Amino acid sequence: MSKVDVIVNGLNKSFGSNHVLRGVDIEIHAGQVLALVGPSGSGKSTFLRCLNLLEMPDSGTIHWNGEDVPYKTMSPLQLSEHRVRMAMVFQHFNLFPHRTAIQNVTEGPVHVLGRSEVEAGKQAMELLDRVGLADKADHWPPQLSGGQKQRVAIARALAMDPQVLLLDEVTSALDVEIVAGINDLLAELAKGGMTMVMVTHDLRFARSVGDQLVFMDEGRIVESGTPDALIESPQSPRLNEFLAAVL
Amino acid sequence: MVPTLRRLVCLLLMACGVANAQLRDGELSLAMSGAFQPFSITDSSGALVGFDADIATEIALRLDLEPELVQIDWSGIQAGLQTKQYDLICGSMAITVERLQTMHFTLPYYVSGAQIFVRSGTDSIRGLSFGVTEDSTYAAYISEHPDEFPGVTVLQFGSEAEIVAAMQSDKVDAFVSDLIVGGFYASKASGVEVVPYGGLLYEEACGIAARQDDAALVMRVNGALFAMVQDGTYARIFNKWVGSEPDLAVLMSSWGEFAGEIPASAATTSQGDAEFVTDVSGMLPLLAKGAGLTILLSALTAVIALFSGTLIGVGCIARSKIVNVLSTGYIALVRGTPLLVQLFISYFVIATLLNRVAGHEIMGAFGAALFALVLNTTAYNAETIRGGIASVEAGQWDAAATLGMRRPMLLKRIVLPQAFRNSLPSLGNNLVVLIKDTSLVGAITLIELTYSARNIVFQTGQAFVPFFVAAAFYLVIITSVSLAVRAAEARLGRGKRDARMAA
Repeated sequence: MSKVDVIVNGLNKSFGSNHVLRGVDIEIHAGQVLALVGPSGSGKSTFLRCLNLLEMPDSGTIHWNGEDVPYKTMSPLQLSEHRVRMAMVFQHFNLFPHRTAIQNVTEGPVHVLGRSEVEAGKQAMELLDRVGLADKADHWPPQLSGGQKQRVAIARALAMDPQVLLLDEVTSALDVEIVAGINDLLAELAKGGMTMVMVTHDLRFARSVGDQLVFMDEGRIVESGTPDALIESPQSPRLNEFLAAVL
Repeated sequence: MVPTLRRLVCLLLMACGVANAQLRDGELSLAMSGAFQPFSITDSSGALVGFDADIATEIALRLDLEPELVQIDWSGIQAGLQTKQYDLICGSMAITVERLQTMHFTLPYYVSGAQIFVRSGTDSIRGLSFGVTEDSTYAAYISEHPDEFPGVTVLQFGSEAEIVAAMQSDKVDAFVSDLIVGGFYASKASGVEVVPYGGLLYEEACGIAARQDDAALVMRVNGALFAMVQDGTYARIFNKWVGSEPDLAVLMSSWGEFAGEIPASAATTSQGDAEFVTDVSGMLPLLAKGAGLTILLSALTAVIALFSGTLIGVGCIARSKIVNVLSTGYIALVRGTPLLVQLFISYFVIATLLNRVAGHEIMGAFGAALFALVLNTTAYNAETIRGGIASVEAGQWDAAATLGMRRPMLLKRIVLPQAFRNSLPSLGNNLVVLIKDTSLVGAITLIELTYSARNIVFQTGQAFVPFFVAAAFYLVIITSVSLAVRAAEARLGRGKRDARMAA
């Protein structure tokens, strides 16, 4: 478990005069779960989006298994390949409304990975079964509840066989009683060895599944370490304030 | 008056210079308005008939050429000649000094006069509102003789039939027109008795107009005219349409010393044998034919402009600055100019240039109309689709990009389908506007639904029924299209609808 998967150094990103990421260094280890917490506007989501290059960082380096990711000069094809290995799940699901649940899951495998419809369909059914929605395969997104939509979105991400799963506040838009089900699903994935980076407000869940907890504020990493250490003995006043506010 | 005419004829003949006739292979195409009963008018099958039509046909045959009669609105008839859409105007065009600046004329082929018509019982024209046809010698005469028309206001119309309709609905009190033509339409007025007022304002001689570089053609037409008068054909045609014997002495004197011998009495023939529309059922075939053209133009334009509009719409959000500027510039340019102007440019300029470069006709009136309509509708569709793309949530782009989709696939599979669904109501609206906009192509010789209705008005002098029947045709076409668009919306929006029903 010591093999380093992704190393980020000195990542900077500004939107106009708004300096959102101010030199972020993070190591993401294979098979581990890294939980990113912090107040809103601290740059957590932007960091996630810079990681899979939905946003282009202004400066800093990203190393993937020791290899530099040359994001400034990558071709559209290289960008595509980079994103495929880091699937992402969003707070608002972002299911394709003009595709059924199963079509949402097969869209990437068929059209990006070039798998056959049959093969992708079989895999999609297995994934939908795994997230507990085998019976909703032919439903349209508007016919699904929020929790069901997020399960489809997770299946859609897994269908790309990613090496890292990026989760951007995936339970924030869901009702409390639904959150537990999604968390169980994510915990199960974590137990199965999936490398995950998750932005979350759910400290309890971060503590239960996280191997590493990173606290961000104003575009910087304030503290990082094991969840137990950070939550039980925070070193910085900012984390103290934050914990007092959310716990 | 006769000395004036003689001077004109001299001018005509002096102007005949170098021979430079460029006729299409064995064809002579002659334009007329089709709105000038009994000189040029369409019959119940839509074909051009009347005195001008028969004279035009006779002249072509005598020159061993195939006659091709073109109906074009009076307002565009001179532009069409200059841009070589046809060879001659044989449309009761009065010879004037102004027109001689830009065109050649043959010898006069009939002499008539300008006449004021009023409601019966009118004893003074002071302060009345007058109707005249656009770009006519009558309009020019009124503006040049304010002393004879004290305090009158002038309204311009497309045809005498429409002026008389305006009299029936009290839009105008009086009009000036050709003695014979005005008399015909006056007799068709219902609910109001229209009568001549005073004597002829002036005589006018109508000639066949040619381009200035077509002097040789003018000479040949003069020869044919002369022979027609000589052998009695002219008198027969005149009698057939006007219903009386022509005053050949007046015609000859207008020809000055070129008169030659006046033929003996012409053979008397029956009235014109053309069949005209008399009732609503008689209108239907003509209107259906016009509606066919309306539908064909609309359908072709709609299909092409959906593709081109999508291309330009995507161009508006392209990452290339140049493509971006070109696309938005195109939309601004086309939306900033009226369709009628675009039609005229397409027909009189672009088609003319293309045909000249190609050396033969590759773009006719239909091609020109289709081009302008596609150009126009593309801009509106592009703007609609640009808006539709903007309405697709940013999360959709993110989700597709994280699946590894590159931009073309992302647009094609994720963004555009949703953009189309979002913009379908607006696209349907553009289609309805397009169908109604096709009514403008009548200005460039295409007899679509609206112009078919006008043709019936020109024939019958009755304005109300044909326009109402045409409106009914439009209503049926547009309602069908609207229902089809609704059905498509329902089909594409099935997910949304099902969710609402389930909720």
